[in-house]
Amino acid sequence: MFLLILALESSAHTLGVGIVDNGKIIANSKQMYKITDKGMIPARVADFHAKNVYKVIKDALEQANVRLSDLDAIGYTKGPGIGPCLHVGQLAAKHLGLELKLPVYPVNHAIAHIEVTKHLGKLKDPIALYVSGGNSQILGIENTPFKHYHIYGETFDIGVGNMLDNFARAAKLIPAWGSTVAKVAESGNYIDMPYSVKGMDFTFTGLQTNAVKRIGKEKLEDIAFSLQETAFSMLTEATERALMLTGKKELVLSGGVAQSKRLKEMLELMSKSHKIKFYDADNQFNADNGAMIALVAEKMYNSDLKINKNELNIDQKYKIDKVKILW
Amino acid sequence: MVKLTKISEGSEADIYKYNLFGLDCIIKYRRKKNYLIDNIDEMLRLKRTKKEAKIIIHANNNKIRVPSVLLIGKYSIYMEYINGISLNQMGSDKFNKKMFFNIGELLKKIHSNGIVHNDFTIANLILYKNLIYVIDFGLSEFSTADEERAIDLLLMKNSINKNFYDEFIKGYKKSNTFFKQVFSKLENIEKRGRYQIRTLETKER
Repeated sequence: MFLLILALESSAHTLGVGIVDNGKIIANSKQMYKITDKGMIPARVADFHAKNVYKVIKDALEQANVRLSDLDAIGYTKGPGIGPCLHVGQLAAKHLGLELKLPVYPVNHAIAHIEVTKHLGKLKDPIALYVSGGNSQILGIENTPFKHYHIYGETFDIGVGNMLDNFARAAKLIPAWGSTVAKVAESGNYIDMPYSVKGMDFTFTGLQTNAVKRIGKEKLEDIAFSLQETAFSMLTEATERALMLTGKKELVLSGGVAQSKRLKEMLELMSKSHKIKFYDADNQFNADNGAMIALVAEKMYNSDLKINKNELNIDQKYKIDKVKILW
Repeated sequence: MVKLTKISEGSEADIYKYNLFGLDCIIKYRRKKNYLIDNIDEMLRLKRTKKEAKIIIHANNNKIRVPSVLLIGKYSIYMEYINGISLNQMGSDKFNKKMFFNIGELLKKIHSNGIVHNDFTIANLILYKNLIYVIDFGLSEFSTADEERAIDLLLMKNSINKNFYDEFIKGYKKSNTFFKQVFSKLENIEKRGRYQIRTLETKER
């Protein structure tokens, strides 16, 4: 039996369309708006998505070798994300739903990132370190007052991705989720930087300010190395505490910054020392993508969830811990 | 041959029991974390060991019942061994109201001396010769912020039943000049609903 679900992701600069068939990802196509050193202008990115949306849908259908009429349901990213960008995916999804008379499911972007990693790693009940531009959170399923992703710890100010990007811009590097900073850091040595973890929470602005101020005064590779080491150490320590607190034995790393090799390495070492099963997905799933949205839409479909028309909206600040997990 | 027995493992430190010149003591040793580069690992262990010792000594000097610090090593603190039983091991059937009134007073004393414990649960309270001792200042800070104080209340609230919690609050409230603002902060935090289970399950005794 086929159960084909197509979903759209358009929360930021990536426009993605994924198709799943009974938990199997059979298409994951995407187009990315090129980010320059000026960052993203929401209206321009939305224009880009609108221009490309039918092409990316068509690509996905070809990849999966299915037709529109074969589909069983549609999903889209409800949030969190950038309003004008989210709108493109939402409108396309609603339009497809209406035309094809199919149910449409609004998906939380952060949950999708975690769920896709969990699914690919075949894990049951992991702690998740979710690190992206705007977000840095340590999460896990809790059953009270209802089944949801509980936030054990998070950044009190900015996300680690944006922190690395802000530093990259100040250092005249291309902001790309820390990848350019990592490149420069390769030959660096450690210099003292402020380290700020409190329990399972952390802050990044103090570290960012310190690093930016030192540009031009010390070797850039040393600053980049120390900034990266400090930020990732903070994340790994807080995650370690969450694992000890909950007694959970699995860990997933997801979100855009999950592409960082050094962060993966630290978490791997930490997990090993506590006999924790660690999994991180292939980079195509750490970057924003449509397949992860389709995967969650499928779970919603299978749990017989009834969605009201007025729930098919967007929510730029769609909070992860407000979403009931039905599977 | 010195006898050194590991009695528990926390997320960053191991606890050993040891006999120092005929005196039973425990050693809290912050172990090396293999995922940190040496500079950061060293800096954190030194800083945290020093801070924790400083807080315990400050508490002790102000007549708060804590284990006395005997020696401070580079990454380890030698402390007096309190030969009692922790309240979570004791079981709630042996709890009484007076005990929690006293615990409330004890927390007030900790707060009025400028310390927040940050892991104030029954696992970190020890009954010894009818007196309550506080242990594990590993997450503690010098702070007088209402929010941080409120979190100590909340941690206790989540580890005991309502009757005992009410007694605890009575003890905390008694001749307490900052009670009002801390309590209103507590209500505020609970509304945000994020701090429900944020303490470390203490595997240390």
